Amino acid sequence: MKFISMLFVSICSFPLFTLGCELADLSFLVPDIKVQYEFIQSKTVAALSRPLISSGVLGFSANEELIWQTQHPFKSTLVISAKRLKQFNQNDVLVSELGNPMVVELSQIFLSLLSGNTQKLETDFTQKIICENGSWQISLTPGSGSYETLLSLISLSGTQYIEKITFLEARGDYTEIQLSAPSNNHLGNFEMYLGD
Amino acid sequence: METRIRAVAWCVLAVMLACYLTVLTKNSSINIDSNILSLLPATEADAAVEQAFNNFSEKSMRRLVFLVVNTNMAKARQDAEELTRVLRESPWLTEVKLEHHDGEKAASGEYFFNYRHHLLSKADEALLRERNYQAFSEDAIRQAYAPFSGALIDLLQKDPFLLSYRAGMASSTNSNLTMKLDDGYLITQVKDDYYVLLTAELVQSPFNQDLQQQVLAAINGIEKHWIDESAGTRLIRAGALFYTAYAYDTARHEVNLIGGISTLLVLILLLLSFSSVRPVALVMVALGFGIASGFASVRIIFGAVHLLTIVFGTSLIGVAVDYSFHYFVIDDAESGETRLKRILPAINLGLLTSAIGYAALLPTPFPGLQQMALFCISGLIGAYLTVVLLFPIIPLQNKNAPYLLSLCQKFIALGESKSARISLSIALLLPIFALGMIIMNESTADDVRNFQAQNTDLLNQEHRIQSILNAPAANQFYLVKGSNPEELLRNLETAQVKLDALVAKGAINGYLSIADWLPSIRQQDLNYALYKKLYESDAGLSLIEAGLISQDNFNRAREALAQEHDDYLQPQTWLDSPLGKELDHLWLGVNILNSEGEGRVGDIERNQSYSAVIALRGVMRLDLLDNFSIGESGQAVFIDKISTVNAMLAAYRSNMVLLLVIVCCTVSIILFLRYGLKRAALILTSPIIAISTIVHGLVLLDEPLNLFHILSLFLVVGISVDFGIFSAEAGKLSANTLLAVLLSALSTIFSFGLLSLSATLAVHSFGLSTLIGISSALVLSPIIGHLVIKQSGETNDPCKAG
Repeated sequence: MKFISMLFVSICSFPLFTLGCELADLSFLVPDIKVQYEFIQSKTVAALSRPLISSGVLGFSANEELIWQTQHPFKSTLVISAKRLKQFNQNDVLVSELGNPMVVELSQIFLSLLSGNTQKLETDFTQKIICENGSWQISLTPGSGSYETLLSLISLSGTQYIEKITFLEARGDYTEIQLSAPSNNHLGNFEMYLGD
Repeated sequence: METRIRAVAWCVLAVMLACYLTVLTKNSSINIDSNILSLLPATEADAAVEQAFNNFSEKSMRRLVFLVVNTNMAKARQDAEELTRVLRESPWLTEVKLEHHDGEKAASGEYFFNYRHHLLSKADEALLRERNYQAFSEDAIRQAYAPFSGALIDLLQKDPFLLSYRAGMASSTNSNLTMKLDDGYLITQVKDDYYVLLTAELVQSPFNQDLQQQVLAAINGIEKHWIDESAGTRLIRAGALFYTAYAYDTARHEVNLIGGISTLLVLILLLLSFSSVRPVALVMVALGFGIASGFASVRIIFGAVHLLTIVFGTSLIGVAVDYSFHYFVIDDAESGETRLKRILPAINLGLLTSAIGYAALLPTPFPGLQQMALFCISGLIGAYLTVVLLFPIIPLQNKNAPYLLSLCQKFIALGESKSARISLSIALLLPIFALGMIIMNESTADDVRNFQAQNTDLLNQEHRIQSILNAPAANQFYLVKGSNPEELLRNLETAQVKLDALVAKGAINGYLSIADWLPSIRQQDLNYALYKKLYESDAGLSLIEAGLISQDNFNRAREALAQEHDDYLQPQTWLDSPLGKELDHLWLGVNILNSEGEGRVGDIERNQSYSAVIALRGVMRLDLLDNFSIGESGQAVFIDKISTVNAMLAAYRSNMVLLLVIVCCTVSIILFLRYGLKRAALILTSPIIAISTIVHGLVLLDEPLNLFHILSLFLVVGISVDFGIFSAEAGKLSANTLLAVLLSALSTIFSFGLLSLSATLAVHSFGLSTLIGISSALVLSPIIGHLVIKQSGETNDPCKAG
């Protein structure tokens, strides 16, 4: 869920006029901790009769650290940097530095996308970009075995900013994330999660 | 006639020896042992503890650990796969493990699911004791909202609080690997490098030389391929195999090189001295017969011959040929019988004193020293028999080299000079200074690791692996026992309290105990009771309200809990689990012994003793680690093999000094009985000054005293006493007698002295002190020889040695 939001943020921040329908041509997330993006996530799982809905905010620092904060139904904050993944609980206490290795790996993929390092995406995913009437859609299909077992498709779409991210998992579950336009983080509450 | 009978007797012996050795070679049962541990005595008073250590060390010695390193993760993985393929092809390796398969993951998942109501991590136990039940439901909800949570949400329908998932996660963070599982590989990143872990197990002990050669060839082949490829892949390795192979190679190289040079130098010396081939050939026969006898007797008595015994044994050359020298230097005798008659008293006495010296090593509990002693004694007897039985029948027409004789003559004149006697008087002060130095100088080095040649590169690689894997120390651990598995596990659990205190004190960084994964039945009951309260709490309601589980499914999960009360996790089940297989070296219980046979099983079953190892990580304060008691009768025994053996080596060094004194006293009595007080005292002056010179030499060269220096003193005493005896027996100090002494000293220096070039500190120490001691005895020999003979003539005169 968290990296999905990240991806969302990243793509949100691509202003439309720079969009040349090449991943490498896109501009990336605003590296400013004072800017935040709101999200609503809906997750549909076979075993459950109704989808799991959650919402929260995202931010990206100048040091390329991504803050992903779920606020409802519970508070939980994830900080992703190039080398580590930190998780804070509802009381903002650091609970773990590492999680499921695959989650860590996927988090790194989104981070590299946000920071403009598209090399990883080009080797591991097949991309398809469609531009039409000022809106666009990117589909990423995992090519290498390691992601294929988990993911079937990642799809991102938007106009001026990214508006929707869809994840289709290999087992059939899917997740949809709606993202708002960037706004000022007037609470300024992201700094506390950064640094060591 | 009698000469012929003796020669025939020798031939019979030689044929028997040759047959025995041929049979051994044909059956490939020469049995050369290079296991350093077989040189060591049993160090633990408790037989079960000793056996536990042996089991543990045997298991650890078969393990190989590799890290394939590259800055590119994909390349590191790819090369690790290549190495895995190569290793799997080898018939000497098993359990070559790179990927952790899905099947294994599934097995692991099933295992944790089956025992979810009996396994409880320390952190979760704390939560339950605080009645913080909501923490469980909140975690489950958080997991459900996380990416790719579909499988966990499925699990949640049967295991609402994800207890199996929690136990699995806790279990993997507890295990000995700091590496993360990534797409089935264990990979870690340090700075820019990726390290991929690969483990394997040898099918036999690493001391099998065929195994060593073939496994190393495979590894070296692939390493060379990586270097040629220059893609930056490196291999870091650890395992007893690599050390053993290195030590073996070094020792073999030394036997070839030092033995070769030594033989060559002795041959040249003989050719120069006798200007005839026949003596040289005979010396070789005496030598070959001596070494063969030594080898055969050690093989018969010990069942195997240690490599280090052979290294020392090849140096037997120096002593075994002494008898031949004395035989050949007599150039005015008509027949062999006359020669023999002239030297027999001297070589009888020489053999007796040398044999006493070596025999002193036999009662030591060091199998290595016993072997060396036996090798030397039987080798000397073999050489002696060759001289006595075979030599007289061979006609000789050798002539001592005139220039050597004139050199000896000059040497004798020097010995008779006044300045020489003054030098001797001064030299007599050496023992006093040496004694002072021994008392003042406390620098000693008794370290068992000196037995084996050290390779710093391998040590660095091992340290690297240890730091990356956070691997526990192999030679320092706690051993806990119990009369049955349940008692053992309870003892392990109790021991953890004390171990946690040691961690808190900074004595150790951490520990690895089976109790972390395999609770006792008592503990499993406690865990179950805590979980029961969790199910009864309102945490379940939170899950239902969050829409993660239906009331029906939750009720079913509660029924499952009620039914599974007696589904305890049994030790064997744990041992068969993926993690259990990884950590089964910590479990030394009877079931493991049964599978390996070895006949020790009976003892253990009789005593009904089960034991397990608690491995220690990062030992920081050795002084704080000691045995501690568990409950009323149990005990955790701290085992520190290296420190224990080192302490024993130090104790032996002291005991050997005492033994040396006893040997000197015995030799003195023999000498006194034959030569009287004054001549005996003069003969003993030589070894005493030689020993003092060694002490001075070692202090000057800044070499800490170790057991092997002391061992060499037995040889130095034997040879230097021989010099005196030959002078005394000769009646007059002729150039011929001195030539024999010179040849003897030089051949000893060529053989033993060359050992000081050895890369194995033990062998080097032995060689160096022999070199110093024998050189000193050689210089003293004309002076003391002169004085001894003078005493023989004027037995009534006061001794003028001072």
